[in-house]
Amino acid sequence: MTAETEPLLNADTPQHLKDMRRSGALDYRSGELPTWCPGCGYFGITHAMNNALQAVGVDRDKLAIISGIGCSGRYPFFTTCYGFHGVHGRALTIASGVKMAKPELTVLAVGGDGDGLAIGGGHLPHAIRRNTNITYVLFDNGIYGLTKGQTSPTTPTGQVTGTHPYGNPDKPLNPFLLALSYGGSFVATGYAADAPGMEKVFIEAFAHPGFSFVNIISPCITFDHVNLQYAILREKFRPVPADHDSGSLQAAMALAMDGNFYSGVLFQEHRATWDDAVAAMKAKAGGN
Amino acid sequence: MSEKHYVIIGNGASANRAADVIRQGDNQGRITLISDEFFPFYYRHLLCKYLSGEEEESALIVRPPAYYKEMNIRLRLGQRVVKADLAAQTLYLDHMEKIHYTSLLLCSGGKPKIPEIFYSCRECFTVLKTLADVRRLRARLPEIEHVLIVGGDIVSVRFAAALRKKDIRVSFMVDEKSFWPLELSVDKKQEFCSVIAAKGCDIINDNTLRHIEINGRGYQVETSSGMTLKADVVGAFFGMTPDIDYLFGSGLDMERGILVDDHLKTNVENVYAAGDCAQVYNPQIRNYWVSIGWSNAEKLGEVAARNILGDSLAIDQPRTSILNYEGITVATEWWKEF
Amino acid sequence: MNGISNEDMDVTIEICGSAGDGSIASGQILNLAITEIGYHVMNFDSYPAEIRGFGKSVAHSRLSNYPIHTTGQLVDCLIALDDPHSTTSLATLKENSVIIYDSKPMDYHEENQAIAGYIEPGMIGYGIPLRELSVQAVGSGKSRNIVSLGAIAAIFRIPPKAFHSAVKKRFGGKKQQIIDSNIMAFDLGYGYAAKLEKADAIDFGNKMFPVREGIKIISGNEAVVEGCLDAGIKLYAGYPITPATKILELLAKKLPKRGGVVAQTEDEISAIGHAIGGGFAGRRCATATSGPGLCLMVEMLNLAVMAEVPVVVIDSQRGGPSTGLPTKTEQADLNLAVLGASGDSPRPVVAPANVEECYHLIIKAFEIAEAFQTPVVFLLDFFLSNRMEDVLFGEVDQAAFGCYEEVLAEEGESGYERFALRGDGISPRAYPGMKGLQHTITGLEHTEKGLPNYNAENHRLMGAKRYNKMRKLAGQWPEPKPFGMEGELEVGIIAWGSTIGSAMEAVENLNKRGVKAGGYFPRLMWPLHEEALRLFASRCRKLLVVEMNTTGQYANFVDQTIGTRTVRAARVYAGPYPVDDILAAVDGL
Repeated sequence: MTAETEPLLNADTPQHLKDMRRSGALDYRSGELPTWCPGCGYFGITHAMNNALQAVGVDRDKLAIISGIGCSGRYPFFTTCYGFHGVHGRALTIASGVKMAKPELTVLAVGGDGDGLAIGGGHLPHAIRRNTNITYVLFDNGIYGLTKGQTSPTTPTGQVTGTHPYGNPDKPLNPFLLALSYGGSFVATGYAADAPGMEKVFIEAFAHPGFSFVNIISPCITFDHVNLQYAILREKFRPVPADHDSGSLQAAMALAMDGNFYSGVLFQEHRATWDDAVAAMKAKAGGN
Repeated sequence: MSEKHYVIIGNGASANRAADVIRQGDNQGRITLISDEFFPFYYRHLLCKYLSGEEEESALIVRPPAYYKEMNIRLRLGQRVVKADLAAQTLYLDHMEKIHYTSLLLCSGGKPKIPEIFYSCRECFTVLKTLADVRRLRARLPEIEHVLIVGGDIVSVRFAAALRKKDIRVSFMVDEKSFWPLELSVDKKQEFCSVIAAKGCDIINDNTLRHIEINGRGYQVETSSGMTLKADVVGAFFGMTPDIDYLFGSGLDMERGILVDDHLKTNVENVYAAGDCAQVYNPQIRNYWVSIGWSNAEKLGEVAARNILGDSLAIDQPRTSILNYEGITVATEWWKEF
Repeated sequence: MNGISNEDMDVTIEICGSAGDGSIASGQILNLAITEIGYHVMNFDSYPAEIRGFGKSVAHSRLSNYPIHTTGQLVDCLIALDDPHSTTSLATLKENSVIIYDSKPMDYHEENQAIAGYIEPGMIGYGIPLRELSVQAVGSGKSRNIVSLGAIAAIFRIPPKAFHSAVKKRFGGKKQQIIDSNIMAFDLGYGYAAKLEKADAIDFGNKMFPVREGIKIISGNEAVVEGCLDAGIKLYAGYPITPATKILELLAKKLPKRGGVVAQTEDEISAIGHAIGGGFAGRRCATATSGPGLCLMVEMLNLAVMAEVPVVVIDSQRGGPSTGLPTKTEQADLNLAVLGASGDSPRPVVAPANVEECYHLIIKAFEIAEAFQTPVVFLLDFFLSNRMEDVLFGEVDQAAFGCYEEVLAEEGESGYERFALRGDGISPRAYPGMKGLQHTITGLEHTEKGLPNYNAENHRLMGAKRYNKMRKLAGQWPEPKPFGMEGELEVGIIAWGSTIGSAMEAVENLNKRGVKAGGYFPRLMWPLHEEALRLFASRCRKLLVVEMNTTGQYANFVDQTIGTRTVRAARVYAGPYPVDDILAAVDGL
């Protein structure tokens, strides 16, 4: 549906909706109705992502979105793209293959905290090392939602879940510290209810040459009633401090560890990407 | 190494008999027979029949290789000992391997004697001691017309007969001095000559070999009386001498053969000798005896083996047995000389 | 082909040494030399188990002037560069074989460590002073291997210039002085041995046959690599594992030159993930592994089946189960290749019989993956991966394995359905980059549009679709050419993969003896050619299935498909299947 053909545009439509309709961001929607619970943070992420795709002007014929298993796994179905809803934990491997085989595509990988940090945890460091030019958005809701409420790698200690009726015994992972210590060349954060903030981060992620890791905190309103709450997060989230040196790994780690919720780019460096490496290999190998 | 290793140099009658006796007496110890002949243990007395074609190779073999596998006796065929370090109880083989023994029995037998005066042209002679020798000659028989036999030891009679069966002309140059092992009396010589003449051999009397050289594919021979003969093959039958060259410098007491006492022990601890290579001391005559013939060799092998196993058997009084060589009867017993 | 000689030359030579003796290098020179003068060669080397130092390496080459199918069981000539190691190679020597040994080693060998001590009556031992001649030529004993080649060239009467040329080729890139001194080592060995009295019957007669232009001596893995390159592979992802590592390493070197990309991944799951990603993107991609890796890949393979994504997965089988016998050959992954998955998960499985087919069949595998929108499992084994043969890569023999075209959707078509149901099960494909055909594929059961759906009827239809594709492939793939006698047969032998070579020789042997035997040798392991199998079975009084696994994995498929009760000759050998054992199995029928 386009701004021209949308019949619901009329004088009573609020300006921001009109703007949205005209911007073309809605063209990135596939028309499939999401399967998420009303109020799920993923709606916000989708919205911000579509805006960002529109702002950057990504060619929908050349857009590939790879997902894993989880509520976030359904994401590609809701976007006009060539999507691949794969198996649990392997989205990064597939996304990496897509980009390596056809570098002209825009490749986006999405997944949840279980998909990305539990079963898929072993792939993250290597995707980061390779520094392919893809964007990975981790929809972090601190729980296994699709399977109805089990502990995830980012569930806080002590939280009662389906698998831990007496409280989660394990220490949760810090996805930012992981990404930073793996050597991520772009590590950013966002909040599912802060669309403008996410949109900004996504645009920077797409622009970044290399692997962009964006972790979005997103409440699961159905299975998490204690940890990530809109009411609490609304107050807690703040932008990354203006004086933060995003070129300093130490500073980025400090921010990641200080217990606050930040929105923005924690760390960015420009280093050789996979494409640079391939070009160098080709040069050394000779031939075409 | 607490394991016993009995090493026997030789693969003839005495060696094999000894191996059997040792195995009977010691189930565990390793037994190795080393022979420079490629062929397994065969009946030497059938070589003539093999030459004449009356027997094939398979009939010569005394027992199949499977026997040795069953008895757990290692056969090393076609391998030669080149040196013995008796102090270290180690033997050195010609293909650069060394073997350690706990007991050593020398049964290397005899090798054809070539008189010293002919040593320089020894390559012109054909000797027929081993199966390999006979095999080579047998292959050439179709193209051979004339064989000259020089020396004429007792075995030569059988070979002559075999050659005659193939219609090959045989000349005998009988030399009493090199006749062996008999000391020919005039009667015996007469008997000998009549037997070989009856086979159709020419006898060249009162002549000894002066000179021999290659002539085309055969040889030319000059005799003491100035005669010149041509032959395709010149067979040397000057008797046997113990095959013990590899033991020179080893510290063993040796004369023509290996000197052993009447228990077949040498002067070196754990080293024994038996068969055609040994000179056996007889305390009664205070001199050394030598043995000839298959059954004597077996007997010596048995006694040596028993003593190796810990017994203390002295060799019997010499026994006499009658052998028949194409009608010439020979009483074999203990001879004093080679 | 050759065959100018009226005598069939068929000589198997083993060069045995300790690691560092150069037995493998001299084997390579022998192979080069013999193909220079127009002979065929089939070679299989064994390496020490340990990485450094100790352990024996054996170069094993079978040379012939007519096409051969196996590396031969018994050895005609053993060159012993290291006596203690060579004594363990005695078991495979023929009765009247030749042993070349060093007659002047540095020192005396300990008891039973001298190979010459084992020469049995009938065998011929030639003692050559290998070390001394090597020292003369190069100043040390390290060219004993080359000296020994000179010796056999003289004794067996192989033209020396073939070896000169081979030495130059093998040491090409090294200093001229090294080439020259090695040629001298060869010549010294040749000169010495030429004076020896020849006692054996191996005689090449100094003959030379016309050389086929473009002939390569190449292994199964190398042939797979060439095939991938010529198929236009864009991405190869792999994880090191014996015996597939070589494929990764060779492609890492060569693929960038051809405009492609190689990724060493963190594990096998990532490797196949990458390859599937690339296949989804519309490019030819592959990965290679062995049994343990394929176990890990099964889930992703299953995903590709359900989502109908083309990808080629190569499995070079080795002894199993689990880590198993990493350096020994076996054919026990067939079940895994065909059935490994949850649910009903059909996919084509192909297995080449020899090195040349490794090349042709891997190209076909890519075609089939695209045309049928499926993962294809390509099975070889440790033996075939490492076996070297002289091969001429001609035009791809289209007839042998069929021709397959992929079906693509029309760009811009509205209402595109990625999994549209059609009679033959193949839906026109679209992939990223094409215009206006966006869709999402999934590992969930899905509608024609590709949306997740759990309806039973839909599930049946989609399941049937996936199987129909396989049926179509079976219909298009040409039947195996019949081998051996025609008409009614006493015994039919079924074999696959590298075992086909042994089975071919067994059939030839039986036919020579007057036994009516024939062979059915499939390259398409699954789906099976029901009709062709039935036809073959109907000709045979007895049906024997020969394979290197314990349960008779292919025999099970055969019996299951055509209702026979085949006789299984399924055994593991940690080595190629001996021809004699096939003959014994036939005798036992």
